[in-house]
Amino acid sequence: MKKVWIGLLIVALAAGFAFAQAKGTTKEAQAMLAKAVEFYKANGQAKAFAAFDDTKGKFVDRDLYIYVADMNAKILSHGANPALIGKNLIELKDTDGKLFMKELVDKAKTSPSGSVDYKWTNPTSKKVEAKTVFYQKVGDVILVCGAYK
Amino acid sequence: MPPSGPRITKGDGKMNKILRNLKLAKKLLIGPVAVSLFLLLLAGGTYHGLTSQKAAMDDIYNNRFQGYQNSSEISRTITNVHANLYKVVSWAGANYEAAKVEALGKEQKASIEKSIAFVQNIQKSDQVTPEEKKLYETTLAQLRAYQEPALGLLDIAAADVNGAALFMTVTDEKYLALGKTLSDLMALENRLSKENYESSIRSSNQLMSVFAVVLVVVIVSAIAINLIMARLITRPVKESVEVIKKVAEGDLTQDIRVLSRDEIGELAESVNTMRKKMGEAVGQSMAISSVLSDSSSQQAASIEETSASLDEMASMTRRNADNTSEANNLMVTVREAIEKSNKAMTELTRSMTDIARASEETQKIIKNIDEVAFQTNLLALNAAVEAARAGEAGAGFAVVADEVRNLALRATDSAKNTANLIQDIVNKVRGGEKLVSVTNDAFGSVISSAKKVQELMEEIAAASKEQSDGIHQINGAVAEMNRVTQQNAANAEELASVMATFRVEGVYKAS
Repeated sequence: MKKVWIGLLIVALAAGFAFAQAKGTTKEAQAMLAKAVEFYKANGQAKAFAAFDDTKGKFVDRDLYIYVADMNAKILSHGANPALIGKNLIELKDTDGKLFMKELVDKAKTSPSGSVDYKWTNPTSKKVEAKTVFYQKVGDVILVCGAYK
Repeated sequence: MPPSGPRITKGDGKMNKILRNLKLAKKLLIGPVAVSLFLLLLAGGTYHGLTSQKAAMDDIYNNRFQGYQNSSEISRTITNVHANLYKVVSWAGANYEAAKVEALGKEQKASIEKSIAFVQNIQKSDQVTPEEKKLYETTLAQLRAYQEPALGLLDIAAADVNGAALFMTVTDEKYLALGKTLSDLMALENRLSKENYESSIRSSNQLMSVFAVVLVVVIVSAIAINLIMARLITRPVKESVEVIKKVAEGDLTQDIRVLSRDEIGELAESVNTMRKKMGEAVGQSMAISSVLSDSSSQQAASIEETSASLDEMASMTRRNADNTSEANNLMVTVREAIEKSNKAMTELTRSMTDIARASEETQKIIKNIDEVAFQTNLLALNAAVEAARAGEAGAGFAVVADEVRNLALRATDSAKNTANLIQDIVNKVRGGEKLVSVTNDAFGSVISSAKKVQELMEEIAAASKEQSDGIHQINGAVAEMNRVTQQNAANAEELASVMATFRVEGVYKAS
């Protein structure tokens, strides 16, 4: 058992170290969003979601990933945690108590693109980190991509 | 004033009149029937009360308690689920085996589904009140609201424990809201059952008070009804008794007031009729007894008089008999006297003959005396003539010669008178002789009459004796009659005095 723990620790440390430098920037995130929007528009919803959800696909890069929500903050596609697909996150608060998804949806209603700051688990570090997400409203869905700080 | 049907006192209530005219049996039944009706009322009230109590108990146990239990069950399940959600998060955080976490999560999902189904099932029940329904709707909505983040949590727990923790905060909120609704629901059940309980207690208390009041009313009205009935029954009876008592004391003037048409009324009427007839009879009896008493007295007096007269008559008869026998005796004496007289008459006849003979001889003597007187007169006349011649010397002689002539004249007169007398005597003796013979004949018939008288007297005496005996017997009978009459008179008087104790209406005469 101890060996397992130690092994895990080593792996985690190694990974953290390895990815420390490999953290996506905000620009990279914005670029990926643009790409995703383009892909979404070009290939349609079904194909786009399949592509976004593919953790080994081109829309997952280190800690960058794409997620799509509808106007009620229901997750339609998620590149980091497919378990969230189908979940409504409108009531979800981050660790500071911020209703970040609601803010996102509200913002999207007024301006088709923009950004929101909140804290969410970094899929690579598995820790809650502050991040800035950029969104683009396409039709009645919002495509989001953010970078951890 | 013959009672033309029962006289009913006017001015009373119609009800009272109806009550009075009920038959005795019905009068006696009114009280028990009224009490029975009241008891029926009480039984109805009690039944109603018990039914509502049962309904309340039913509602408290079957609905409220069940509702409370249901809420409690949901609450318990969700609390359990909620705790397990934390467990899931903590297990995920501690990197438990994914399968284990997933299994725990599945259990929670199932529990939530079960609770939802449970609530839906409750909602289908028709026992659910609108208030409950509203709360159940809220509960269902909140369960679903809870289910959503819970599912999110469970789904991402394995992949992202942090995200799950964030979901946990949402479930916390939902849990609290749901908990509040469920406690509201429990409070509602609690309140409803308390209300029901209290209203049941209230109605029970009300029922008790009503029961008490009705009981008091029943007792009071039963007593009142029975008193009224008793009065209705006893009053005419008492009146009848009063009047009958008076009748018993001899007062036949009182009429019973007929107050009702029941048996007592009929009795009173019969008593009135009886009293009236008795009054008439007694009145007539009084009159008759009075007359009887008077006539008895008179009769007694008459009989007494009769008795006295009879006594007198008896003594008279006795005296009569005595007198008759005395008369008989006297008659015998009379006969003897008559016989003696007869003999005396015979002797008298002989004496008369002797007297007549003696008288004839006396006539002869008187003729001699007359002749002597005539001679003397003549001699006196011669002497007077010789004296006158003698003158003075003869004067004395002349006086004597005159005197002698006067004497001679007187002697002639006397002789004449005596001769007349003797003639008369002779005539009378002769007449006497005739009379004596007539008398003798008369005496003879007197004797035969006296004999007859004597016989008659004897007959009379015998008859008188018989009469006396008869009168004696009559006297005995009259004395007996007297005794009986006296007794009758006394009885009649007593009857009259007894009758006098009665008092009747009107005046009666012995017919």
